[in-house]
Amino acid sequence: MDLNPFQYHAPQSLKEAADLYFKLSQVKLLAGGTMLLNSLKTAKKKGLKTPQHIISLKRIPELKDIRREEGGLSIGAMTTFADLIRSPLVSQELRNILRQIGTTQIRNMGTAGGNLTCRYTWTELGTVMMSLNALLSFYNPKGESYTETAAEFFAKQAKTKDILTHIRVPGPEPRAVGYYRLPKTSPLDVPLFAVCISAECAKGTFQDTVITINRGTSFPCRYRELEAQLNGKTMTPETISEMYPLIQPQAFDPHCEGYKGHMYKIGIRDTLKNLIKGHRDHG
Amino acid sequence: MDKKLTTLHINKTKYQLPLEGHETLLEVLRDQIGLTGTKSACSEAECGACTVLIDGQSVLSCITLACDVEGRDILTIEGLSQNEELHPVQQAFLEKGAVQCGFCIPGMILSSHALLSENPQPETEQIQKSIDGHICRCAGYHKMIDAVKYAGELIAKKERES
Repeated sequence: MDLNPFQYHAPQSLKEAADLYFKLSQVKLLAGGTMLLNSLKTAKKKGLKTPQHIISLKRIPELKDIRREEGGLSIGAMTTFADLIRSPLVSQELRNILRQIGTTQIRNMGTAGGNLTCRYTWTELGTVMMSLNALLSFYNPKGESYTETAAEFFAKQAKTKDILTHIRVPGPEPRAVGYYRLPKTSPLDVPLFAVCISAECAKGTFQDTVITINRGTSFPCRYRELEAQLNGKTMTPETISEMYPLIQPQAFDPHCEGYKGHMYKIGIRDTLKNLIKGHRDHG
Repeated sequence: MDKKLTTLHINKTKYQLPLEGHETLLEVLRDQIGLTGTKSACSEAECGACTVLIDGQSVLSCITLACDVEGRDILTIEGLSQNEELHPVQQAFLEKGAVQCGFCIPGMILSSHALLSENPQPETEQIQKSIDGHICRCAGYHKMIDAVKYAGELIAKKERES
């Protein structure tokens, strides 16, 4: 057997899942399984301790919904990447970004919530959701729901003892979004580096720009200096040319001498190109 | 660990199996049911050889718990052909010479079938994207892409004739 034995639980509601999760020890939540089951196999091979209980969230309908609501888009934590890509409720720009992540099977299996909470630094949805100013809703042991921003969540290294239930993307989306990922040559398609930039664009200029950088080895962070320089500039190729020399990768990675610095600059430049193209095509 | 009687719907046949909960779908298919067409290779979600369809979508059976897909429609390569007739995707792979060692082929064919069910006439780029989770160590991708396009033609022809 590839996995050490554990007790499998398949609750039918969030409350049932929470009651189990907060009561049991040595327990893990199972979302899509693309991260967790692989890590449990690795742990077994290395002789490391593995959980005694696995709680599958797959049978909880309230965690699978995608709906438009006042103030934006609500995405259940157990919604898969494929569900999001197929949903007409999700903006074309976000769907195009999600199509770039993982392989077909991983997109069919991997969930939004699993990707955000698995604590692998290189997972990509966090970078995108931070840039979109997304809010994350959690359910705590007292049965209460509370919300924090994706930025707050990643600032504390994506640590939580509670259950992520929904992701809320503010909208409707006049925001333009651009994404760039530099994958490793690996079947797992893990990015070495990813950037997501979003901006208000009502007047054809960058407003309230959010630039999120994922260096692969640490959780996503903002690049505020460039955000400030972009705000007020027109969304044109000329702005990209003007901004390119101002990109200072040392602002978010102090150890980016040589090729890494160039890689970051080109990545940010191409994200801006993607943003402008996407805004022209879909805006 | 206690065993629980678990019902799996595989290739339109119902199987009732006592499972502890930690068994992967790949292990159950190969070791308990004897459906060895689903291949075990990397066992860590990298190669795509273990691909099966769950409710029509390609998934990796090496990182799917069998208990998690109880009651859902599971299709393996053994369930694709009907009677003695090959499925058009299988026929196309055969006619186009898209098979070399053959190890990746069951998964590749199932992913191609899933694509053609949604999009009967895919473009090259769409085919490349749909088989992006499969590694062919013989590197026979070009013929496979040709085979998927041809399979679309065979399916359309079959539909016209029926």
